[in-house]
Amino acid sequence: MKRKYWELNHPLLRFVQHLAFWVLSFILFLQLFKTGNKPEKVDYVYTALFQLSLLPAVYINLELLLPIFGRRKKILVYLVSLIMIIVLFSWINYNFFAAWSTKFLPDYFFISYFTFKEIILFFTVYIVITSLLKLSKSWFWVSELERELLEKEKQKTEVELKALKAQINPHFFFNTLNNIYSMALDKDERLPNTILQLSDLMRYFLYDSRDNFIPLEKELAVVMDYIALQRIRSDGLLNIEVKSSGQVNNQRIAPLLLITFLENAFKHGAKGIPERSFVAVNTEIEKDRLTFSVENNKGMIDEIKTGEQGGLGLENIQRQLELLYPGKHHLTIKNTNDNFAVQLQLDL
Amino acid sequence: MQSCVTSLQPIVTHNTAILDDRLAGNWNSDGQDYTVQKFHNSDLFKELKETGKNKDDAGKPLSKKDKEDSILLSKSYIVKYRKDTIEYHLLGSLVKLNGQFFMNFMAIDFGMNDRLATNTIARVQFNNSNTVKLDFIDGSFLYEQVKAGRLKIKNERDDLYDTFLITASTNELQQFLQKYGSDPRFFNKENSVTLTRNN
Repeated sequence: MKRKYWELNHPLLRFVQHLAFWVLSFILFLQLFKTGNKPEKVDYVYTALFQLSLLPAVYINLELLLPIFGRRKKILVYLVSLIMIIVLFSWINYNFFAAWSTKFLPDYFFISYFTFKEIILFFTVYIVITSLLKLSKSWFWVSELERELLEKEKQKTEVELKALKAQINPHFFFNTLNNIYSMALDKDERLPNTILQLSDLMRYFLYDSRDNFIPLEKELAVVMDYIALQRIRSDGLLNIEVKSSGQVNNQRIAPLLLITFLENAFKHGAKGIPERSFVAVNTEIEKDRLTFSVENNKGMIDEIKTGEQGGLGLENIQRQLELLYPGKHHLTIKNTNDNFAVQLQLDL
Repeated sequence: MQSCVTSLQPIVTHNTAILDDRLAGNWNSDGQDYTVQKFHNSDLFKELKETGKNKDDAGKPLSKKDKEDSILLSKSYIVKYRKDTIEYHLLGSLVKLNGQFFMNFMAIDFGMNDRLATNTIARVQFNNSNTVKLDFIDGSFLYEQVKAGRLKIKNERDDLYDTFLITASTNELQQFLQKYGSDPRFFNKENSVTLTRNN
């Protein structure tokens, strides 16, 4: 992209473009100004001189007036300056052909074949054409730069998302492996099945979650697997309540969003007094809107922190939501003395 | 090669033509007599007035073009001279451009309405009340410039007979004379006539 911009602005290319414009203009003028059927020597000289008088007016406008006043948006000052330039160079053109040329070209005989008003019209048309050409060229560059900027932004987002996912995975596995370690110490017979479920989850984390969006059905299945894993692990001491409503069709969702909320809920819910510990999960699907709520009790020493390693990682989730669902999500967090509730509403 | 330039259009219009009392009178140049009269005082006008009285369109309102022609005639001169028993009439109209006088001459051919009237242009210099110098534009010079591609003026060329006719508009002709009216290359001694007033 940078290369393309550089190529378009290369002085040689720019020179060739301008030269091509003036050569074309010269040919058109020559056909317009010629006296007979075919142009004579004097027609070439006259046309070249006529065009030469246009150059300063055109380039003063393109290189000075437009950049200076256009950038500052001083339209009135620009128009007044432009009119002055047009009138000045039209006057020079008229007088050169009507009188002054005898001093510079005594052996060529011509007059001003156009009235002063007609010359002003010529200059105005040329100024307008060249200004429009410059503006369209600038517009092309701006749109290219915008495209480049969007591309860069997209790349940045993808890199950021990858980094965020990379932060989630170790976080999750660290907690789960701690649980498995506890089960191994207790010689729990459910350990092989738990390891198998962990294996399924790892497959999901390692391969399926590479995409920005996956089927909602798959994410919800993982959620259920995860809850099942936690149910086994809690050995009935944790009151787990799961509700779901609505129809899953072809909706898609960013992977790992829901799991992160669950992971934190189970981690902190399990720290409470066994009889009063609970995790409540509610999934509602209404057409393309998903409402996912997780509520859990807080442990005795729980202090919910965000964005801290080993904490809830809610900042991480919030950033992912901003990147993947700009203007299409609503995250509500209720943090009371006893409970912690999260509700996520997503437009899928 | 032609000595005087001929133009399809005159250099004078009804609103730029002027009268100068110094022009009227009887003149002589190299033994040739010329009579210059204001159109309305001329014998020709009197003749035309007499013959036009009984015409069908006499008394009818004039068109815009006729009115303009009438104004131009009222500000023109009739130049009369005789050569080999034939009397010639020229319509002369004077104009002042960039401080100089120029005269547009158009031959009046009675009974030859099918011929295209052309104009000849001369610079007029009043040396004193008894002498007038007419410098006719050098047609050879202009033709050479046109052929060399150095003169940009509308024209029709006939290279076989080495003649050319200027077809530029009156406005363009006036602009040319304003710009090059003092250029000595446009005038040739051979094309100059000095008129001396007959006492």
